[in-house]
Amino acid sequence: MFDIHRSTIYHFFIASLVVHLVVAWPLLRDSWFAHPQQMDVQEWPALSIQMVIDERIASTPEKLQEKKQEKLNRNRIPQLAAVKQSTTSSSEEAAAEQAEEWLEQAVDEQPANSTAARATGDLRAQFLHRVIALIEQNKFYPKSARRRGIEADVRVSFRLHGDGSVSDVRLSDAPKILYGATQQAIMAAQPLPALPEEISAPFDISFIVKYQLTE
Amino acid sequence: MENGTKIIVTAVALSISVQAGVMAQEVDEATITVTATREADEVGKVAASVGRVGGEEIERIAPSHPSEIVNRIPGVHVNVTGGEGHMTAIRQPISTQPLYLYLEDGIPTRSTGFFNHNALYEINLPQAGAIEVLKGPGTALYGSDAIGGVINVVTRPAPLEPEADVAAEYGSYGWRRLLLSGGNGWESDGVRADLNMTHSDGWRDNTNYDRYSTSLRWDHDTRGGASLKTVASLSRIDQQTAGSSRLLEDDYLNNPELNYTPISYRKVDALRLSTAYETETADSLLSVIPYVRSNSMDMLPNWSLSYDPVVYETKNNSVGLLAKYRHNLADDVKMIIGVDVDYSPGSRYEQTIVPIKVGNIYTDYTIGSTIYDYDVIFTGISPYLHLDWQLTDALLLQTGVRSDQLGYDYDNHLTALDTGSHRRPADTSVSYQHLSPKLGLVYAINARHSTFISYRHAFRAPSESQLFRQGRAVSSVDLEPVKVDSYELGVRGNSPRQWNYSVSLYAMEKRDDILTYRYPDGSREVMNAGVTRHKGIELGYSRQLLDWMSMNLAWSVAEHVYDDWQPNATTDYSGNEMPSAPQTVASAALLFTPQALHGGSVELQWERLGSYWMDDENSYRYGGHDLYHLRTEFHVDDGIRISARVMNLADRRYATAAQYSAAAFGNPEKFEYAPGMPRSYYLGVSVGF
Repeated sequence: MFDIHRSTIYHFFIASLVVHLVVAWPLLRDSWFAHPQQMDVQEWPALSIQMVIDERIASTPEKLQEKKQEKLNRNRIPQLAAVKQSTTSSSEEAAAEQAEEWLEQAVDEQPANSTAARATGDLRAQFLHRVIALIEQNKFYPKSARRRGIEADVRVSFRLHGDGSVSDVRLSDAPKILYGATQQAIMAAQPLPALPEEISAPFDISFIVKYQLTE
Repeated sequence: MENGTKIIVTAVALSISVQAGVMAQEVDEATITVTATREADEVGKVAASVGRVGGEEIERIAPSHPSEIVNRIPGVHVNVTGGEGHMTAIRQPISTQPLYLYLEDGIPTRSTGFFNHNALYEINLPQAGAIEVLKGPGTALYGSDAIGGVINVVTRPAPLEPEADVAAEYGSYGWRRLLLSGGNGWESDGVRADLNMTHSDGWRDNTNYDRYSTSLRWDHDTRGGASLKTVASLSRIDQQTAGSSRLLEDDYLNNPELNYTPISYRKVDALRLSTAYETETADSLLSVIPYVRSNSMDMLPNWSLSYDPVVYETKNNSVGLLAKYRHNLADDVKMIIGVDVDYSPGSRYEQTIVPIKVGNIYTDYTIGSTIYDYDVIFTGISPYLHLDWQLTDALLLQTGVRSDQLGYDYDNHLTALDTGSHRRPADTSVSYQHLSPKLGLVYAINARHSTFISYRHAFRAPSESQLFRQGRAVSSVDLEPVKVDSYELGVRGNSPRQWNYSVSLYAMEKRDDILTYRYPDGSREVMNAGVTRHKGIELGYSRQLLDWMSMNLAWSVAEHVYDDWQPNATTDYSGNEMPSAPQTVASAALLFTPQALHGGSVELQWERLGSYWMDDENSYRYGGHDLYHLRTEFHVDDGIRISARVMNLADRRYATAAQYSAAAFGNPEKFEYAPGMPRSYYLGVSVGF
C-alpha cells in the first residue's frame, strides 16, 4: 500500500514542482530573491502586467464612464434611498450608500464646472477624486488574505504626468498578498486620464489602501 | 460553494490640500478602505439551499462523530455505523448509495468511480475550519455523485503568528483522543500541522476503533498577489467490526452490547495531496489545483456474512486537476468556466470465506476461493460553464451547464463467469456522456431577506463495484446512470448576530435509480429502478434570544417513494415508500453563555429521527427516536479550556439502522436493529499557546 503511496507522492511532487516553476516562478523569484521596499511599474512581474493588460481591454476609461452612466440610468439612487429608510440598516449599508453616492458624485463632476473649480483650486481635488474613483473600481480583498485573516494598510504614491502616464509608483511594505492586490488595482485603473491643462504636471498623488476584515 | 468576494466600501475619506506654486504638486493622503468578511458570505446569492457550521462551532462541539456536526443543518442526517463510519441522508433515504460528493477544500476526497459512503471518516473533521453542505444536485460546478448534496470540509488556514493547541479527551468505553495543532506565519508564508489520534474500545463487544489523521497545510503568497496553498492529509482507520452489526430484536432490547460479527474488520488508508494556485483581480480569478489521492481498504464486511461472506481489498490512486477561471464579463455578469479531470486506476481482490457460527455469533472463518480480481481505470473529463447575471439590482439569474465524459476500462484477471452468485464480466470498457443544465433565480426582497427558485439536473454514473462486482445479476455493466431533475423554492433571511432562517421546498425525480433488490433468501442484486420521487420541506432557524442565550433549530419533513419499480415479474414496489427514509429529521439546541462562565457555555441539544419503513414491502416501521445531549465548556484561563459532554443523556435505547425480513426458506421473519450508543460521558482539557 505505501509503496504505491510513495510512488504517488513522488510523482505528485515532481508535478507540483513543475507547476510552481512554470506558473509561479516569476512571482516566486521576485518574492524570494528581491525585497524592494519600493517598486516601479516597470519592475512589476511580466506575468502580472500581461494579465492585467488583457483584462483592461474591456474597461477603457470611456467604457467605465459608460458603465457608470448606465448605472445612473437604471436609477439606482431610489434603491439606495429605499435602503436608507430601513430602520434596521446597518452601518455597513450606510457606508456602502455613502460610497455609492460618492462614486456617482465623482462621475458627475464634469469639466463644465471647471471654471469655478479653477478659481477655487477645487479642480485638483476633483481630478484626484476621479483618479481615486478609478482605483476604487478595481480594488478587491484577495480570497487568500480573507481566509488567513490578513489585514494591513498599504501606503501608495505615484507621479501622474500630463498625458496620464504614471511613474515612481511606491508601495509601503505590506503582506505580499495585499501588496499584490494593491498593485493590481493601480495597474487595472490605467490608463489614467490626462491632466487638464489647468493643472501643471507632474501631479504627485498619495493615498492609503486600508484592508480591514469584519466578522 | 464558490467563495466569492463581497467588498463593501465602508468609508471613503478624502482630505486634500494642494501646495501651489511647486513643480510637483502634492496632496495629503486619502484613504481607500477595503473591507470584507473572513468567511464566504455568498449564501444569499445562491439558488440552492446551503448550510454551514463554522470552525468555532466545530471546536466547541468537539465531535466524536461527524453526525454531531452535520445533523445540525436542516434536512441533513448522518447516522453511526460503528466507529466514525456513517451513512448519509440528504434529500434521500439513509443509504450507502453513491449520492453525495465529499470535498476537502473543494477537492473530491474520492474518485467518482470509487465512492465509499464512509467518506467523512477519511477527513479530519474535529480539526476542520468549517463544513458546508449544499443540498440537492450540485450541477455545473460539481458533477457525478453530487445528487443528494455536496459536503465540503474546509481546512484551517495557517496562522499569522505562532500558535499551538493541545486537546486531550477521555470518555466512556475507552474513548481517548489527542488533538494537536500548531503553526506559524511569516512574511509571505504560513504553515499549520494538525494531528488527530483517537481510540475507542467500542461500547459493544469487539468494536475497537483506532484512527490516526494528520494534515499539513502551507500557505504561500507571492508579491504579485497570487497565492499557493498546499495541503497534505493522511488518515488511517483500523476498525474491528466494519459496519453497524445488527441484532435480532430480543438482543437489541436486552443485550445490545452483543456483537454477532466479531470477525469483521475494516482497515482504511487515505492520502490526499494538492496545491491550489490562485490569482485574482477585481474582475477575475484563476484557480488551478493539481492533486493526487490514494485510497485503500481491507475489509471483512459484517452485513453480508449471512448471505455472501467475503473478504476483499480495494485500492485506487488518482491524479487530477481542477481548473477554473472566473471573469466579470460586465458589471452585472459573472462567468465561470472550468474543467475537472480525474484519472484513477484501481483494483479489487476478493475472496469468499467460510465462516464458523456458534449460535448467532460468527466466531471464526477460513479463506475460500478468489471470486474477483480485477483492475479498473476510471477517467473523467468534465468541462463546465456557470453564469451569474444580475438582471436587476434585486434579481439574479444563475445558470450553468456541465458536460461529463466518464469512463471505465476494466481488466478481469480471472475467467469471465455468467452463472452463480459471483458472476464476472469479461474485459470491457464502459463510458458515459451527459449534459447537466441548471437554472435559478435569486430575488433579494430587501437587504435581509431573499428568495430563490431553481431547476437542477444531475446524473450519476454507476460506481466500479456496481458495474464489475457483478454478483448474481444477469448483467451489471449495462447499468444505466441515474438521472435526476430537481425543483426547489426557498426563502431565507439573516441579521448578523441576531437571527437567521431558511425555508426550502424541494421535489426530485430520479430515473434509473440504482437500487439493491433483496431476494427472499437474503442475497442482493443491484439494478436500475424505474422512477423514484422525493419531496420535502426544510426549516432552519437560529436566534440570539438573550445576551446569554441562543437557539438553533433544524427541522425537515420528507417523503421518498418508489414511483415505478418492479424488480421482477412477481414483485412490484411501485407506490411504496422507500425503506430507511425517515419522514422527520430534527435537531434543536439551546446554548447558554452567561458571563459567570467567563466565555464558557452550556448547551442542551435535542435530536429527533422520525419513523421509517423497515422493508421495501412497507410491512413494519421503526418508530423513530429522540436523543438529548449536554455539552459544557469552561475557560479556566485564557488558554486553558475544560469541556465535558454527556451524549444520549436519557440513556435511550435506539437504532441507527433497522430492517425487517419476511419469513422465507424456512427462516423465521427477522426484525434486525443496529443499537445506538447508550449514555456516554466525555471530559476534555485543551491548552492553547
